[in-house]
Amino acid sequence: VRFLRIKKSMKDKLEKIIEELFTLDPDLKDKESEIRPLVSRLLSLKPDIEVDRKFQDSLRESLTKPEIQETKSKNRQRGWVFRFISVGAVVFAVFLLTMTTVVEVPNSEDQFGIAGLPEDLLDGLVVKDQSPGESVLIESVFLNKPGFVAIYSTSEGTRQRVIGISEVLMEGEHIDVMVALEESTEEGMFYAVILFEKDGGDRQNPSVLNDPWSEEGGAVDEAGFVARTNQ
Amino acid sequence: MARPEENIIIEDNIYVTRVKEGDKEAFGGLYDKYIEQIYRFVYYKVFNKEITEDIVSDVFFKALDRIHSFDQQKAGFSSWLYAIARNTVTDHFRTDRKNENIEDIFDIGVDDRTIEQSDASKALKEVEDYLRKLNATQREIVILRIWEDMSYKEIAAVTGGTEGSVKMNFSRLIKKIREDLKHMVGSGLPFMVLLHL
Repeated sequence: VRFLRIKKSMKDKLEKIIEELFTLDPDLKDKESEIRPLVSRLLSLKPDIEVDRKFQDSLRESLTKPEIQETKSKNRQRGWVFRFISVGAVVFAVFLLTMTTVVEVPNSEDQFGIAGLPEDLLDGLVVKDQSPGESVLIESVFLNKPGFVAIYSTSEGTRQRVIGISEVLMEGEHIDVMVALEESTEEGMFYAVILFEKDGGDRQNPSVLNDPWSEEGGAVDEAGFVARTNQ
Repeated sequence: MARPEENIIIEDNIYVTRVKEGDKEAFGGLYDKYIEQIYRFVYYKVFNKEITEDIVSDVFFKALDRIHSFDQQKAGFSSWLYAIARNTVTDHFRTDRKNENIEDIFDIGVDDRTIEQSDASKALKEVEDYLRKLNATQREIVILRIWEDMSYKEIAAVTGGTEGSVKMNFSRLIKKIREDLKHMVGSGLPFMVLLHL
């Protein structure tokens, strides 16, 4: 009975996909005899993966037991704080080393990435909800390579168009990056902010801006904010 | 009467509101609902049990940490969760490979993804070989539309594209596979046989 149910469910799914395809591209209807077995084959390739019960239960317990949840959450927060403190300490140490000629400075390229920062520091940006206006304030940006930030208007959770692009930002950390906008942000609207690791020449490249997470896009982080007064 | 998809969103929103109000047990409801889907989504990308479990744990802890910033008016919970999973997989492989395009996990060598012998059954190998022939976008469409039965709108929310671009990519994918197979038919093998190669 279970087998028959699975078979029926697959058949229903197949019919639904076939119907969609013919609506999307009516030319495909002429090739139904080839399209139908092809989609059926794609459906049948779905691997039968089962979650390890022990793992599933243990993770659930960690997520829902208040005391474990708080500890893990605190640890995660501590991890970030520790990370920023570590970065600060490393930057300060490198600064001290470069200020003295007595101490031999080790080859920072061997131990650290760009600007003496640990290599595992990921690109990222932080932006908070802010009052509507003609510019956007990005609290901090970290880049391992030069890049820029683009602000997008959105509708129903989907990016619409670019309304502002920052200047080219060099590798390293940037605090309070101001981005001028072509149009003002509106009260209550959500805006997406994307960080790109791309050359300045790509700041107006439509294939980069329109499809940021594609291979050519070069997006490395995404965040968002709501424009609202009294922030 | 609300459609099934709307009912799912309403149910998710009730759980999300309860979690935001401090009911931590309510997160268990969301977890039970999505653990298998997220697990499969991650597994199809990494094909390794241990790595999948690490990433899935990370995904749900991130979701729990960030749920207060999740806006139910802007996106569905499932799309939001899939987007976290997608980014977490990318981040996992990005850590050691800063200079490579790790948007496409399949560009990373098999050895680097340490596929376990126990997992590399013949069937899984076949699936992996097949997915490898597709580009990153096409692979995501196979996983999300054909295997996970997600709507185009949901896929667009996960991948950051538009509903229209996902639909276009889907019909292009089917056309491409058909053309590839027709090309091979020209080499003498029957179409139906090629489908099962």
